[in-house]
Amino acid sequence: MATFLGLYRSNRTLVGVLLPIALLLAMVIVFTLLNERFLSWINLFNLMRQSSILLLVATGTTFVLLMGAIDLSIGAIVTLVAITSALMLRDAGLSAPVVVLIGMAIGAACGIVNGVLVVYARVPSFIATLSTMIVFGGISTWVAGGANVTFRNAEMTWLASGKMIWQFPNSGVWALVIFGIAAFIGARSTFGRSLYAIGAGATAALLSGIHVARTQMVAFVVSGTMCGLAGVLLVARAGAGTARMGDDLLLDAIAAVVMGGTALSGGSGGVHRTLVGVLVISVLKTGLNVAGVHPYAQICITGLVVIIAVTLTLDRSRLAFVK
Amino acid sequence: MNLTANLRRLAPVLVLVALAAVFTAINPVYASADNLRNILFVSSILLVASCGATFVIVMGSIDLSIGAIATLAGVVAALVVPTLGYGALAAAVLVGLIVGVANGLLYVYLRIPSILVTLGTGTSLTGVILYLSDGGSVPIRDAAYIAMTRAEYIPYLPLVIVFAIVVYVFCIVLADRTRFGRMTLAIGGDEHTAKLVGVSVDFVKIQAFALSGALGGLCGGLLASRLGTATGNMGEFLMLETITAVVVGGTAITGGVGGVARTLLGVLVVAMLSNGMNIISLHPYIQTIVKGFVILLAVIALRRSPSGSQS
Amino acid sequence: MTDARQPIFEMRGASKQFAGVTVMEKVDLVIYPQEIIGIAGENGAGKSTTLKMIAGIHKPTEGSMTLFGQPYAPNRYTDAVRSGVSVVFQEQALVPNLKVYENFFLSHETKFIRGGLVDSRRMIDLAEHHLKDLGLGHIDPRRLTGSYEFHDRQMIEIAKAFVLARFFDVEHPIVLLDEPTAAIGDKEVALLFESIRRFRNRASFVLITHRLAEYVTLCDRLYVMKDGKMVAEMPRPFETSRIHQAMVGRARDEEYYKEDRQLTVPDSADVVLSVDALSGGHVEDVSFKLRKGEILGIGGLVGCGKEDVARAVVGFEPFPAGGTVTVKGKPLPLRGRNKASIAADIGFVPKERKTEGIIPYLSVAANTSLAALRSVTAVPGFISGARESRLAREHIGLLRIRTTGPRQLLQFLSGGNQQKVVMAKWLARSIDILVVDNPTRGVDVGAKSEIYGLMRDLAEKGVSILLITDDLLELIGLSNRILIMRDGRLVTERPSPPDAKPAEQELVGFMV
Repeated sequence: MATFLGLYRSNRTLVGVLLPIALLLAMVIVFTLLNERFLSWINLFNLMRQSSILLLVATGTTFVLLMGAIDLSIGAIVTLVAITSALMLRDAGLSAPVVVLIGMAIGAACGIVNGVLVVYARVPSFIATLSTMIVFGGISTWVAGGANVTFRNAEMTWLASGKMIWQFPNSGVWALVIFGIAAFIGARSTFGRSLYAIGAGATAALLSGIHVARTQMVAFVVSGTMCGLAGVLLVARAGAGTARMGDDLLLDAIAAVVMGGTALSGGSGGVHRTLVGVLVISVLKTGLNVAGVHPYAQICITGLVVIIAVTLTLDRSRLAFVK
Repeated sequence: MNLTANLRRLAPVLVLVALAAVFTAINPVYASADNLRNILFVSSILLVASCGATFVIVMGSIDLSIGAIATLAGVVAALVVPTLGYGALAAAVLVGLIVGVANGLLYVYLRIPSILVTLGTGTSLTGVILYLSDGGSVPIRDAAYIAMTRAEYIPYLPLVIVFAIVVYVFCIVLADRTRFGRMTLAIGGDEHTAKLVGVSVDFVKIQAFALSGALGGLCGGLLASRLGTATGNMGEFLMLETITAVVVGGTAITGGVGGVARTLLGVLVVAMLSNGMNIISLHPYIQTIVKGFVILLAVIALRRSPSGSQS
Repeated sequence: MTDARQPIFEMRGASKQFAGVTVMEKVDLVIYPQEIIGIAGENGAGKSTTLKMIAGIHKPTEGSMTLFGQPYAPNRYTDAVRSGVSVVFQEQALVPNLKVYENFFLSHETKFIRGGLVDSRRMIDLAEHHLKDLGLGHIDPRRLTGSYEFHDRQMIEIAKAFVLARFFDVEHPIVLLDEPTAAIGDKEVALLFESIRRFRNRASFVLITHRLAEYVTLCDRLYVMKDGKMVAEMPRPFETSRIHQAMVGRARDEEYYKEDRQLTVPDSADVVLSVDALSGGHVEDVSFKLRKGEILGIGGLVGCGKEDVARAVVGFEPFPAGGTVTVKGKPLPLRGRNKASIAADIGFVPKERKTEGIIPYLSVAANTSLAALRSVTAVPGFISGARESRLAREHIGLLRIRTTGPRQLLQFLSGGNQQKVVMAKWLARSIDILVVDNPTRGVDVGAKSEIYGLMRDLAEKGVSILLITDDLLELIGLSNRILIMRDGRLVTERPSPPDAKPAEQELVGFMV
């Protein structure tokens, strides 16, 4: 046991990468044993569909976390875009592609608000996004008028559940493609490098000529836009906009990013790692469903597993203090 | 310099006065005795939870599970009222205490940021709440328990206000006159130094979360009495409103500055604002938006400005 | 001359290793009552570790200590405090948002508990009594510690040492001072020393500082450490050159600063940087010119404003905003000066390497390309790993950086090599002017020599260097011309050609 712990401590990064993958495999095995239908194609497609929303949101938020900030309003942005999209489809009769664009624009606008508060008003990102979370939430409920907004639009349904490539659900395809692009940008672009630099050493980055303000602004806008896209896909899949439908994404997204290996304080990890974290959470949720676990118990278990997983993968050498 | 520092300290008071003036001007009902009692009623419940939150925030941490704790405690109280009567309130406090201690232990021993711990426990508790309440609400049929918060043993002072005052005074004493209070301030100000000079940081952290949990629990028990029922989301508003109250009162979200005494001002601002917006029939959704802005304003206005170029 | 007194503290054969690296090797040290001793030595010599070992912050891997005749092996700092040993930290271990008396007794309040509550009244009285006793009556124990100036906070920390010593029934405390003068001006230094002299008959003091002049003024006895070993013990009177010799093993060495490579820069050379009437903050009316290929050194005591001059040139906020800074004929704007100076090909090697110079969690390659990202992109906006690696390797070779490769994280390199990476970062951009603030601080002797060579290389290539440094010998050895500042003003300008270098005493005379 002692040697195991010793090995664990001295190979932190390797463990950080392998652990979530190991966790993922373990869960897949357990769930398949509980119900062999877990490994069926139908379930896998279901998994893709379920996780696509989270993947988009978590990917966007990785950019923000990398630079050492946090965006608590991501769930609220998803809800806001979902509801406004539903309204546009039902009342304004707009076509699906237009709705997608407007949805992303709304998300981007939310991101701009966040960015302005953090970069120009110098409000700590925690408080700024906590406030915008409340404000966006208020706008959502106001706009929805207190009722669910249902609509019928074949294009939208195709957007989420159609099958362009073999049997894979479209939402999964979109999410993976965008994830791939984002991961590439995160790892290889100057923008991505700037994020790491700002997260790992803001003063040194500034003095070296990195455009800190501009990069921070872009990160928030990207996060917001991804949430906007997620909101559109969410409502496409659900066929209706309901109050608070995106709010749960906050914890899941942050947990996914942290589990993937991006430090909460920023500067290390990466967008590419977020996929594993998203899979862990999605597999957990779908698995519990397939295994027939009571919905209430599911919520409990999810919360606990998240805490455990984060505990194991968090890179504490980067935290001067756990706040 | 001195002027701005004093202005900062007086700001919440000025805001209170301004709010009172504006709302009364729009609708004189605002200043009626009945309405004032209403404000105090709402303030009391918020104050109980905010006092606990203050200690955690002063220490530099955060407790995002406080809403869930209050809801859970309220649900448990509602369930045990038939058997325990008034004792259900104690049960509520106990539930809150247990969760608070769990929060503290997870925070200290797993060494994960308090944001994640409390988001996680908060979410888990939701599952427990749903299970206990069967997805709905738990009505209370014990008239005595329901009347408890409204009972006026002291004329014109409903019991809930008395509870709040007692908790408030207790917390002030705790903050100013005990080692615990001083240590939360020390940890929030400079955790490294505090640890170096021998403060048992871990123990203090656990205690702070235990206190926050217990007071959240008390809040839940009182809420259940006030509403006459325990619903699955009755404590939700607490998470945001306690943070708002604490920040508006003048305690920095980063910790080390402020304290319980000032939280009262923040609570009054929030309560007066909510009540006022209701009185002037402001759309409920707009009310939420306004509350969001209030936090922002408070942080921007009360912030120590960073130094720019000297000339 | 043997000392007939009994020592109150003795350290015998103490060694300490951190992750396999020996920082202290069989160190012997003695403290007598009522004396002020100093521990001198270069960065990394082991002085701070020795001090922290006496204070219980580090435990010896080998060796023993005795205090007041008893074996002494504290487990943590609090144990040392209870035994009468306290530290005055460089940035004070005081919680700024607590009141003075609260800081005095932080974590020791149990003795003041009455009925479950802390008896603040008694604490305040005790604090007041002691402060007055120490001649520090102007300090109000009820005020917030953070509201006091640096000097007073130092006094508070010294007072705390006495208060706690008395509290734990120790008559004669030992007060350890870890570079107390590093960030204060000469006025405050004088005040500090006066206080220490006043308290000397009640306590013993151990002082670590980089300013040799201070040891000479204050200490009764001096230990010198080099590379983790105690190499000398000297009684008064001290000779600076002897101390320096013991510290580095040489007097000022012309070869060390490569003075033979110093260029002669004619007055007719192009002016690349012109600073006119710079003022603001601590600085008043500073003007000078920097010529192509010149190394212009600015010296002065800490707090004289030389750092602010550097900040004004590179636009590192906060900086003095009055006056103008002109680079190659074009003035730098006030807003966005940081970006403008980089665009004008000015590089900056800041004083605080760990937080301002390097990004420890990024690789050598990432740090090197940080200011020159455009040059390592193949497709606009996307970094080419190959190009970045090549750039890094090029500079690793050029600057002889000791690293396992471009992918090693910077936190694993030694201070000297980290500093080289900082310089590589600017070389990757081909700069015209390099502003360096204490370039060899925290760098070992070998790397220092290499960095000096680098600076000569740059000068030969036509790069002009503005050198800000606290190291007087470095200032003299490297510079073509020397400016001395005092209290925010430029007080003298002295040419420093290789054959006619000024003596330290001459320059020190202008600084104080």
